[in-house]
Parts: sequence; C-alpha cells; structure tokens
Amino acid sequence: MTKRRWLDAACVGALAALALMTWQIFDPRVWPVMVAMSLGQVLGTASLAAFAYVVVSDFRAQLRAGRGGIGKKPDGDLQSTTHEAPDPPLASGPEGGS
Amino acid sequence: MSLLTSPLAVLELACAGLSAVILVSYLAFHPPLVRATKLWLLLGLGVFPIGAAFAGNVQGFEATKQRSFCGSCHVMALHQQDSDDPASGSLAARHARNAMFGDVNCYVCHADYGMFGTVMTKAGGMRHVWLYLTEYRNTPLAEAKKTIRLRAPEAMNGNCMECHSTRDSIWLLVPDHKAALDDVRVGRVSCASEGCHGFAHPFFRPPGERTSG
Repeated sequence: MTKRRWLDAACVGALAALALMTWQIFDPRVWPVMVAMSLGQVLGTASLAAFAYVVVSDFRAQLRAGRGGIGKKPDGDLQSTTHEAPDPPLASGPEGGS
Repeated sequence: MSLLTSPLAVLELACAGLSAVILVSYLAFHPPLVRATKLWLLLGLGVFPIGAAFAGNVQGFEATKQRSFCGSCHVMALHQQDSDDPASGSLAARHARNAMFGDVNCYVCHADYGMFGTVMTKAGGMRHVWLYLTEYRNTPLAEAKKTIRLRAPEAMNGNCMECHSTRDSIWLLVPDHKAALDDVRVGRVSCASEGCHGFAHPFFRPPGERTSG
C-alpha cells in the first residue's frame, strides 16, 4: 500500500471515528456511548498511528536520500524515490514548500 | 438533550467539525504532502480528534450516570419507572426527588466512592454489560424481576453512610438505629430492608429472599 493510500485510509478512519464519537452526543444511550468509547477510540488511534507511520517513513526516506545525495527539496520533503523506497513521490509541487 | 448547556458537547462538536473540514478537504483535493500539508493533517488527525475524544469521553461518562441510561437495559425498566414515578414511596424514588440525586440517583447510590470512584464504577459497569449480553439479554422482564439481585448487598450500607453517617446525634436518638448500630455499619443489617426503611426498589422475590433491596 502506498503512503498516499495510508493517508487516505487514515482520513476515512478518522472521519468514521469522529462520526461515532459525535453520535453519542445526540443519542446518549448504551450502544452509541459504548461504541463511541471503544470502536471510536480505536479507529481514531489507528488513524493517528497511520499518519505517524507515513510521516516517520517519509522522514526516514528523506534521511536515506540525504545520505545518497538524491534530490532533496528545500523543506525536507522527497522529490524522488530512493532505491529502497518503492512508493511514489509524496510531494509534487514545483518547490515542495508550504 | 443538553447540547446547548454542555460546554463539553460544544467542544466536541467544534473539534469534530474542524477535523472533518480538514480531512474532507485533504481527501477532495489531495494536495502535495509538503510540510504545511503534514501540519494540517496533524491538526485533522491528531489535535482536533484528541480534543473531540477527550470531550466526548467526559461527556460519555456523564451520560452513563443518567437514570435513562441505566434504564436502557430492559431488566432495569421497572426500577427506572419506579424512580420516575412522583407518587412512588420507594427509597429510590424518594431519593430521586431529592435534588442531590435527581436524574443520576442510580449512580449516586450505586457508585464506588474515593479518588477513582467514577473509573472503578464504570469498569465494574462493564461486567454488567457482559452479563447482560451473555445472560440477561433475552430474559423476560417477568423472570428478571424475580431473579435480579445485588452482587454485594452487604456493601450497600456503605453507600447509604456516605450521607447518613450513623454518627449524627439525631440519628443515634432513634432506638432502632442505636440497637443495630454495629450491624448496620458492617452491613449485617441492610438499611434498605423489611422492618427498616423498606426496599430501595420494587421487590418481587419470594419472602425467603427478602433480605435487601
């Protein structure tokens, strides 16, 4: 799975978690509250973990690229992949900066 | 519904809304994953959802204290109806009419006290959920009302004594209180029993089991 897909999955998971957590506000009965405080928490935490995975792996790829002298963008984001990183490039802007 | 009166509910909705805007925008436009995008995603996947989860959990804990929440399980329906009944004379109903107990009278009387009282009570409540799912979910109310019982009835006096300390001079003037003082304090005689203050809830068990409410 590419990093982009990891992030898409994280966003969708977080939206589902937020929906579950918000449901209990409008319908504070047993199942909405329990689902919000269990499944909602798990989904939200997994989404954050997926985001952290992407950021950390991107950072590691950036370090590898720095060691190998492969094109590095001004803000530290990768412009191209390294030999070890099969994922497509994450930054596509002309400068890659904010 | 207490949406407008609960700051926690407002906080949760605000955090969830802000997070949703960021996440939907990312999914819709798929911007390059540059530093600014990562920071926005950190807000949308981390900061705001954590805020929503914190507010939602506290709000959820508060919701689980409500009598209507306890009555969500059908085996508690009679107990809830009794507490809701302004004409009922049961201990539970009389306490429910007291503002100190009100809509959370189930929780106030059955909660563990102490520093971690709420957490320990809710952890114990998970046992109720498990038993309900595995044993009582399909139990008819007519059967449940005869078999339902307290797990540790001897511990209930401790909850009564959180307010009625048994040390007040007026309380000790009552001859029955004075005579049964030691038994009441250790739970051998229930405050909520026949001959004392009556059962806390409507009681349907056979006479031989009429030991506590």
